[in-house]
Amino acid sequence: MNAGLQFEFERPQSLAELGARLAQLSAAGADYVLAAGATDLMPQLKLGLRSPQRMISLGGLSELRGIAIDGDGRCRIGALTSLATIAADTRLQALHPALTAAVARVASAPIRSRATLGGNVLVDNRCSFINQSALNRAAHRPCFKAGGEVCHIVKSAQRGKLPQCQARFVSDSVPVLLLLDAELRLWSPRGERRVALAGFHHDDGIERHDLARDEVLVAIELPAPTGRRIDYAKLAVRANLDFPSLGVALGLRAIDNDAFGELAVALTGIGTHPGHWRHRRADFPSAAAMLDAAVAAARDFAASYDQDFFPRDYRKRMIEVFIRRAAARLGGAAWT
Amino acid sequence: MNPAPHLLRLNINGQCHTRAVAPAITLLDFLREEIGLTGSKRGCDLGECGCCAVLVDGAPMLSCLLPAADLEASAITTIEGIGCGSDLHPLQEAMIEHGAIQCGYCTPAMVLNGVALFAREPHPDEHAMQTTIAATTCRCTGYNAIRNAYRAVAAREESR
Amino acid sequence: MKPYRIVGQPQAQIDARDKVTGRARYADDLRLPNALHALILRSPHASARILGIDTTRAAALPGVRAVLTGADFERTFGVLPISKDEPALARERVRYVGEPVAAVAAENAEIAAQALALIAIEYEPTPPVLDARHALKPTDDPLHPELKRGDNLHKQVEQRFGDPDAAFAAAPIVIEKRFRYAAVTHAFTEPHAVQVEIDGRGNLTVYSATQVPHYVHLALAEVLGLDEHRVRVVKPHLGGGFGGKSDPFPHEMIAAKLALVSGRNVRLRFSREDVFFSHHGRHPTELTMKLGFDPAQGITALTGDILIDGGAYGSFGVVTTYYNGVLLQGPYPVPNFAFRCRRLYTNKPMCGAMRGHGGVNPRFASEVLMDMALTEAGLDPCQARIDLLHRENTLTVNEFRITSVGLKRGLEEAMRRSGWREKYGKLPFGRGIGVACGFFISGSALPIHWNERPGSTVRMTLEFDGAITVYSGASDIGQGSDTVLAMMAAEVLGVELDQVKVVAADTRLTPVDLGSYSSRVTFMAGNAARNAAIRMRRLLVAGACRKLGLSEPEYPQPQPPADFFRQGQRAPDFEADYLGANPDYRDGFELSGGRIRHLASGADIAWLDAVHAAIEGPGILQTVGNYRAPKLGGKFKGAGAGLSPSYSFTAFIVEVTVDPETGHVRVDKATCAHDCGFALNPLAVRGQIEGCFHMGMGQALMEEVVHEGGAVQNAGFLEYKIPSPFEEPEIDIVLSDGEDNEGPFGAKEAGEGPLAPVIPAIANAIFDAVGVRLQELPMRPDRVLAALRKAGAR
Repeated sequence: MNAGLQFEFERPQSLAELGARLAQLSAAGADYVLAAGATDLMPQLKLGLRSPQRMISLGGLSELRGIAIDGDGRCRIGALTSLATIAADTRLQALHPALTAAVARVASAPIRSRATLGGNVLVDNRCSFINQSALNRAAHRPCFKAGGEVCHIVKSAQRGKLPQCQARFVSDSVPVLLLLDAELRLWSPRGERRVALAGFHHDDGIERHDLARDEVLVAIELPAPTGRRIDYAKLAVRANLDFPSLGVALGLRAIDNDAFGELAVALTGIGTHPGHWRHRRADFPSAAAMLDAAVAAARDFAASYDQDFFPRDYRKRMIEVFIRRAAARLGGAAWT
Repeated sequence: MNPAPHLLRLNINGQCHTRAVAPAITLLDFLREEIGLTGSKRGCDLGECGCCAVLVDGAPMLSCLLPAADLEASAITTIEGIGCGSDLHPLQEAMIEHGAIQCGYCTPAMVLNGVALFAREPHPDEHAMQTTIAATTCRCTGYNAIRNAYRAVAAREESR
Repeated sequence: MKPYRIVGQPQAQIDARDKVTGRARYADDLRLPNALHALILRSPHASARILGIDTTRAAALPGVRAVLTGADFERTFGVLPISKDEPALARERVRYVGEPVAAVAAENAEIAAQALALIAIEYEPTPPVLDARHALKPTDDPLHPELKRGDNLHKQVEQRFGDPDAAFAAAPIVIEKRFRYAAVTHAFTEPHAVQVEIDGRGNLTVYSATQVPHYVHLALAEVLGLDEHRVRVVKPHLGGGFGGKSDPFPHEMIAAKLALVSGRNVRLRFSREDVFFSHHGRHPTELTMKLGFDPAQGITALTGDILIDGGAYGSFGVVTTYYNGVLLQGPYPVPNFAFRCRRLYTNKPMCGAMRGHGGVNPRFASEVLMDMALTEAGLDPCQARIDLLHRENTLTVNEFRITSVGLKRGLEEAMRRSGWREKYGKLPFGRGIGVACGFFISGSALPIHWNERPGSTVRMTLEFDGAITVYSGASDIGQGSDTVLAMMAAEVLGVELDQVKVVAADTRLTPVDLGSYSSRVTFMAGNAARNAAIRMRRLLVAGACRKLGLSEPEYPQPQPPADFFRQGQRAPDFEADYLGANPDYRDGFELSGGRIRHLASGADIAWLDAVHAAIEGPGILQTVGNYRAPKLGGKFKGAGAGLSPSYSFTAFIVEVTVDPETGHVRVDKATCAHDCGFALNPLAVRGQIEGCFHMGMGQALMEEVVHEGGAVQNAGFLEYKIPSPFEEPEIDIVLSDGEDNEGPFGAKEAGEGPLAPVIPAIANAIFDAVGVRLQELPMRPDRVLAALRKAGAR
């Protein structure tokens, strides 16, 4: 397997220094990769999924680390803040318990102490045909994501026709962040911009999101709490290490004194990108009808093809179970 | 062309180690291949088995996933830096006593993760202990004896 | 209370402090001077002809010291002399994805990797055979043309005892079901690794992560064409085996050959994916089993038709083929019995021996059928099992000699502790309790290579300073065998454990022991160690007598045990009959606290003074003990399979919660009763049982090697799911308080037998919880849910 990684390494100490360096490298057309915790990246490098000439560590950018919460409850979480730090932050636990709980379900404890929230938002999509050694990929012929001309999941896939790749979106944090109306602060030598997390990810396992090549996710920002209560449940074989076979975040918010005013759902683990819906009670004859619609929308979304320990049909069935159970946890028996 | 060797200086178990190495070397390779500290095990090299755990500034991390060059400002502790001679950490003693050790391959990581846990929280709850133990794959013990060793340490009157 | 100081007490492993401080050295932790780094090039094809291999560019790369292909090895090998079908490097054809095809040794890993990339291989892919059913079909291109067959059958075994058809016709209850099993693998944490040291005379010392140094020694000499005395195999600390390190392997042959060709030391280690290519795990199986049951008599007949998917080569497969049938001969009498088992070659990594070898999969079927029969008969599944267990000192229909059976009392206690009577059939929907039993060999009575030598020999020395050294070829793979050997020596010689050092698993320094497989070490190497210690004690006591002016004790002549089940043709001898059968070695002296005391007179002497007196003549005290199994078994073909001097018995009672909406199964609690005779080291025995539960639960609920086009798709700990501590329940263990006549101090095995009943106990608990019977492993949530929906639809 890997007989030693080969890349140059550098570690700028400030965004300014990084900016200068990225401008230089871009001008030279250099091949580099930006690394935060690198817990997702290092296995890819070892398996030869990527072989950049240069790794630029963001580890020296202490300005990208830390959790700031203002008096109104607005949060700014530096993208380099470790998942362990977030999970253990008592202020966040009180303010956004679903977020700290979801983050605490990522991978294993020593990975969480290195992995970052930014990394989890950007975590690469996975497929049993791509997250493999070079030998395994050769045994099956390289797929589109490996630079080849075939998709082993959808055999009829053709180059250029999206979604090109059915690799699964597997972030545990994103469904909850979506329901928290998170925004991403993106920085590049060309300037800084702020985008909504909703819509940031694409329906494709290769071109996965809107981040430009020289752009850095510097912070995840959460508006003041809207009163939406959120529940995150994860389907996985084990309570440790596993990526979500399905993750369901459900949010319930009162509108005009109606406890069932708005139902929000976000999914992970069962498509190329996160599913995300908002349903307003006002648009339905009953809360139960709104819940039915939420289930139907989520199940339709999951009509994608992908591979996991659990068969797809089972996971689709579990969407309904997970949504209804979360709804009961948040809204009690009043749904019926 | 391979990148030119890079002079790397790491603080490991309180001692400074300087070596000219490939700039992409992982901490696990640095420990095992460059300075001969083989207590950190290469069970998978992909961050899945957990047997290569070390403490970086007191926090458990997997050395197979760490670019060593990213750690020049950090204090690294390996199993060789825990307990010396007959003066073992209470968790080491408890693991011996409770039969929490069979083949021993996961043991260094099981110890290091626990050392970090008990340093942070002398009387952790069950969930915290389970989470910590789950960081490392053990195929021999079924985790029961390891759990009992952790519980014994958590139940002590005072941490050392 | 038994009169023991050391054995019977929980003892930490003698090397636990080395393990807990990171000092313990595993095969890849050794640092041989100036060693080359070896890498193996593996096949990307499940099935292909090798049209050509060009290694010239690789060989020309600066820093490359040796390049090998299949042409460099004349002989194939295999752990069983009857199926030496595996090449060190593929020749003419490749038979699985990951098969070694070429190898290089270079100054460092980077150069070795570059060299591998320069090896050009021309393959002509051929259609792969990917499952056992397919392998049964006629073909003019079988995997192993040398067998001259028109299909891919490797081994077929059929045995028949009594008249099952008549018994089925007469039985009030007859149940027949089909069961399916995924491939599972050992998943030990230490990947295979080997290092080879070559001296100036071309002698090899091979440090390898192996359970069977002796077999590796023999295979290396044969494959490399070396005199056996030129090879030495050493097992350093070993990070788990479970059967997955109990064959001689291609990488051991390759590393040794690279050392011979280059004249340099060589280091070779596996990636985690390589471990999955090496595999040797449990066979994917499909079987149909039929049980005849009469509430008044118990099981009246049992038959099975079993298909096991062996992968590309033989390994232990011939034994597995037998074990799938014959290990159904316990834990209850089966008066009419027949089975057919067929092992097929397929284009996948080979299967072999895995903890509970061959007995685990059929046990799931037989104990589920048993549960169905008992339920249908209106009997309590736990009490009825207790009532039906083998009686002591009986013969099975296939002539297994059943000696001690200590499960009855243990299972009664487990029943009580688990609250069985309050829970069985009475828990709310979704919660259930289940039970299952099993049995297993305490070592195979027959050696793999037929010869008249003992299967285990131990040498022991005692020197002027009181240092006792036990030299044993047994391989401590983490189960603590070094510790148990040291315990027995310390017990017999009246010293503390830390006065005994064990030198083990070094084929130059230690006498032959066949290895750590078939749960043989405690029983066989244990008897050998105990016997060597008793002989040492006699020398020591003689020294004490000389100093004290006493005459030496009269030792009784060995007598054969009274029971008629010893079917030996051999004359009774000291080893197997007297010492093996008589745990009482007392000689009128007490050895403890650094003194040796003559009980009758009260005269005593310092232990060390007795040593000095005893070594005056020879300068060192040295003894040998050994063990060979008694001659056992019937006269029919295949009668040797499954013969053991003694059998362990186990029962598990398991409680589960089944989520009827998701099909998720959580094991809440397990209670085990295990009959290992006398538990020499209860701490280690409990550890073995807990480890067995872990592995059994993994196979029951989640473990599964997934292949796609012959390639392993989940070759790592992320996607090959072994249970985490969150899934692991508390386990309450009841150990038997009995003794086996022939085990050392009355001990039997504990390392494998407890696994098999775990799986059916979980399945039976699921039935109690939600009323469905699962017949396919793993019992994944989607399968449980499908079964529930099917049952609901009816």
